[in-house]
Amino acid sequence: MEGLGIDIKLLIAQLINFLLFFLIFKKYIAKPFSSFIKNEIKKDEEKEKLFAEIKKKEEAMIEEEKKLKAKMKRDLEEAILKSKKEAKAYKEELIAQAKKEAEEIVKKAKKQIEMEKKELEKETKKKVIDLALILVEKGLENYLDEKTQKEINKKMMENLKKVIN
Amino acid sequence: MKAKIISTYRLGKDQIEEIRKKIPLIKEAEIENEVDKKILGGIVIEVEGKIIDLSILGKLKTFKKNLYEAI
Repeated sequence: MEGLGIDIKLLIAQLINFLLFFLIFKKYIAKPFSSFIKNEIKKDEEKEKLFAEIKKKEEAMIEEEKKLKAKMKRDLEEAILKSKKEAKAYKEELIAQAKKEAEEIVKKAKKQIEMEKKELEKETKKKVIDLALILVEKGLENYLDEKTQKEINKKMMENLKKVIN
Repeated sequence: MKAKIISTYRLGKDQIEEIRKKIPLIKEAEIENEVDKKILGGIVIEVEGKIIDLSILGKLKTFKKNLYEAI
């Protein structure tokens, strides 16, 4: 070894030195660092797990929100449809009612007109009768002289018993 | 009892008696004759609130009434 230029003592010392350094490094630096790293990895895993859970929940919430929105939209559409149907039915009912009332008014008016027409016809006929009888009266007044009236009375007297009975 | 006979001209006694004979209601009545040309012809007898209308005007009124009822 000496021939190779290697100093055994120095080599041993360096080995011991290295061994000591290794032990110290392992105990005071490598182990806590490893522990720290493990800890950090564990924390990271937990974080990831937590993130995954949060993400999952978030996705579930988004999904739920979507469902809720879809349901709300559906409900709203149904409500609008229902309202439209109700409005249409109400409108139709109002139109039908108005139509019925209009028909009633027209019917009543026609009846009234018919009644007035009949009444007018009746009044006209009465006036015609009145006028005709006035004309007859005036005509008889002028036509019937005392001689004719005496003849009428004579005839009447002849038939008087029959008239009275 | 009083009775009134309305005619278009003054009636003679014989005519009044003839009427009296034919209408028992005025057989015993004191008869007054009134002239009213408006009745046009024939006679109207008024006795005890009753009216026996045998005039042409009465006939026309009856005719008018019948016509009114026929409308």
